[in-house]
Amino acid sequence: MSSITLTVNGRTQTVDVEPDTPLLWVLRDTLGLTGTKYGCGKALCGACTVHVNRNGSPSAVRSCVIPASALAGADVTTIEGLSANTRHPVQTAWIEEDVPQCGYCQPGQIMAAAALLAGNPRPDDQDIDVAMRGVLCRCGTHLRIRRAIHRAAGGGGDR
Amino acid sequence: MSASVRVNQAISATATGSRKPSEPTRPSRREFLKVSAAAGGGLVVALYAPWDDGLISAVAAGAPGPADSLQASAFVTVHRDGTVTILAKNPELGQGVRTSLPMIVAEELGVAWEDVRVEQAPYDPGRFGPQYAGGSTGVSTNWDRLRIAGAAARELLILAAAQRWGVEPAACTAIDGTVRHGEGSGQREISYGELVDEAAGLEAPDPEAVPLKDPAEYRIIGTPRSDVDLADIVTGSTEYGLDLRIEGMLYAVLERAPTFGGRVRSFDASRARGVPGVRDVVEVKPLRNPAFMAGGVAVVADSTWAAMKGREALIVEWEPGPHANESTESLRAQFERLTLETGDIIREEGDVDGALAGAATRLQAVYEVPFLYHATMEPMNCVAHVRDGQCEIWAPTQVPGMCLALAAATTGLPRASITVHMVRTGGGFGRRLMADYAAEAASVSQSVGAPVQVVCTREDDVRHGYYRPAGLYRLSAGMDGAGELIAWKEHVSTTSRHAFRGDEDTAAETEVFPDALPGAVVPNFRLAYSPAETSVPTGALRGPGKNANTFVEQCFLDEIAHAAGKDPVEIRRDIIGEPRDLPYRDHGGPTLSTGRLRSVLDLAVARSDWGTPLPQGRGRGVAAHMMFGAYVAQIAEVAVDDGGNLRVERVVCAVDCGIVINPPGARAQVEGGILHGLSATLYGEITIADGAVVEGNFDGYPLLPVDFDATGTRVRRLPIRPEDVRSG
Repeated sequence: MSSITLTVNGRTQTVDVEPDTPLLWVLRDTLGLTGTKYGCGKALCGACTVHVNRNGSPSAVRSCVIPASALAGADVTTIEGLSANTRHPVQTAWIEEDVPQCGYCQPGQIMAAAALLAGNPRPDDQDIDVAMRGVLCRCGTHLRIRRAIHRAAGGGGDR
Repeated sequence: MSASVRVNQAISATATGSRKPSEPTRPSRREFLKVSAAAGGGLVVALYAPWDDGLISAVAAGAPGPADSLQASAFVTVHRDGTVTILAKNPELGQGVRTSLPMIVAEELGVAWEDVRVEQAPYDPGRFGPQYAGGSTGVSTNWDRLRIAGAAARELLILAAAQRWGVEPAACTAIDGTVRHGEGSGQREISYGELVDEAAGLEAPDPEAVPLKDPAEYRIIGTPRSDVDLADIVTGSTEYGLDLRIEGMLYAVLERAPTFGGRVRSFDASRARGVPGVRDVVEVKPLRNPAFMAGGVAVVADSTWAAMKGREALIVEWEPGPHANESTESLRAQFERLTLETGDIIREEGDVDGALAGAATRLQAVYEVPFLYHATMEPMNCVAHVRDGQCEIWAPTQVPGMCLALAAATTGLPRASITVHMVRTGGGFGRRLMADYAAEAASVSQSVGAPVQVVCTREDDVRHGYYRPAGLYRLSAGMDGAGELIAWKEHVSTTSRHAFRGDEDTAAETEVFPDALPGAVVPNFRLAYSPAETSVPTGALRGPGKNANTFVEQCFLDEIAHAAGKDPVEIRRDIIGEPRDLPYRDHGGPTLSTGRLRSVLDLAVARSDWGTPLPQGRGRGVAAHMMFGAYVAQIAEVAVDDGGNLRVERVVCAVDCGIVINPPGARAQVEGGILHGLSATLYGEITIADGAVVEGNFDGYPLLPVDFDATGTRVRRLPIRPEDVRSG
């Protein structure tokens, strides 16, 4: 076991875990943040997508393959911390477009979309398809996801 | 060798709700309504009904069936503050029933949807009637009784108001949570909340006499409503099965046999126990019928990761089982051989061999479909807590009743000592019509004496599923000199799920559909079936049976159209014929309406520019069929490049599923079905080698979005491979 200090959703915490434990399981089993989902364990489906913030800019990472020890001192945002009031423009757009079906993949979809928009405020269809290709959905919400990202890019909701 | 596919944005799904509601199936004499006061004030209405759930019995064969006792189908509680709680009786897997079923109750009750709160009902068929998600039955089997339950509550509130005012109930109306009487300046109104205590003291109405709304007055049914869990889903606060955290809960992963049909011979847990966080290693014995749960060795730990690490250190010796050499190739050879034999004749009309011998034109084809994996985004998992002679199960499942039955069989506890909670579920598609996870969780919890969450890794889920059966379809058709289809001969061999489970049902039941078009109207027709022998577990997958048969029969029909020089739409119109009801013995019957089938075909044709010229490298394909009582026609426009890569430009889908409760929900289901179909058509294939599944994760079993007929090449095996599109 080793002690690892990391900041999750603005709260700095120290966890005692095996150093090879992926961030996903630290979030879910140690910190009780179950909004981040397990889907494949090999960075193939994107259900576990969270943000690692560097220089104030979020990048989407697959938490299922990053050992917690590699994140000592890092600043992580999960779906639970994406917005203080559930009114992140992506969340608002997701609600307005009725995106989810079963909903299981949606936290990962939303985190990937939010990271896309942070780096590219006006993505076209191709930008969206490239950024979202790695986040799988089995229910078939793809078309609404694309619409919701365009809506969020149009400035719906308050940041 | 991967073909790329892009689905254009032009997918247009048209869900038609053209049908008028049928007369309600009035409750039988044994059904009755019960009225009571809610704790803390409020009106509670329940409809009690005898329940005989054929589907659950069918899927749970081998386990004891549900008791036939007096049971309730719906609960609605009207609170003093005017809000309403409606219990969502069925499991939610993304099909939208937590929203659509309560909408039915709210409609008849006459309240504003904004005043409705939905809570998940516990599994208790003694109160709620059948509770499962399967066979596209969620709305159709609950439609009447949910309407009656809502209407009964409304009538009681009207009666309470009428008594208070001293007027005739018939002179009162109910709307948006208020009862009204009179007009203009003389109009009076009183809110439901003010009436609940009086209404709770009234005698329950006779369910057979409760008046139901004229559909022209609907204000909720048929209007767009968001999923009741939408806000929670987008913040990550919805609890799926894998998110449950019970106090003291341990995490477990199972090492399962590396070959289907294998059994534990012995195991050495010493190294696994030495992995930090591992608490215990226990054997999970298979159920008496291992088709329902095949057993293995569980590593139990403080965290999911520790359990996974512990399993890596576990050493198990296995009995390989009877089919350890099985492979996709050996199964294919078996299908080939069996379909050349006579098989079980499922239906025979006229003289098919004679008609084929005398036909002016003959066609033969062999079609093949692979095993498919469900790939729910939430892998199989379940929480169980066995203690003090009780067992509690929290299951992401389509069949809470089967979870209960299998937990009873596993633990030896009586059914009355087992409680099953339904949680929102990350997809089912038929995989969760099995309940192996519940049996595993109950077994492990009983062994270790703590609440346990059994977790499948993605690899576990891919390699230990209940796959869509693989199969081979050998077809012959004959046309007369005028190009009329006069003979259709089909011999199907698959790995039937009924055969796999040793059910009493015939192996063919879910595999072939003797009354389906086109075969059913061809004058000389033979349908034969031969179950293949295998240890590969099979189950239901979205549109079970039909998802393979429709591909094969609709494609072969196109071959016939081509040979006869007919337009693919016209040959379908010829086969469908005049509007009439044909007998249909399978699920979705008892009849098949050719009029409804023709209507969806015509609608899809009208919206798809069928018949207009297409540029080189583009084509259109059409299919139309009835399944589980819904009528669907679909036209796909597909482009193919020189490399054989497909691009689906557009899919037009027309559906007549009867009354649509929640249009965006129905539309989402149709779009999802199209994308699931494309994913299977292009990528879906589970390969068997050495008695086990080769693929292990989404790298080997990619998901995504197809259709074809752009190159003039016939594709007769799925998934479609670029070389199959290029060749020919």
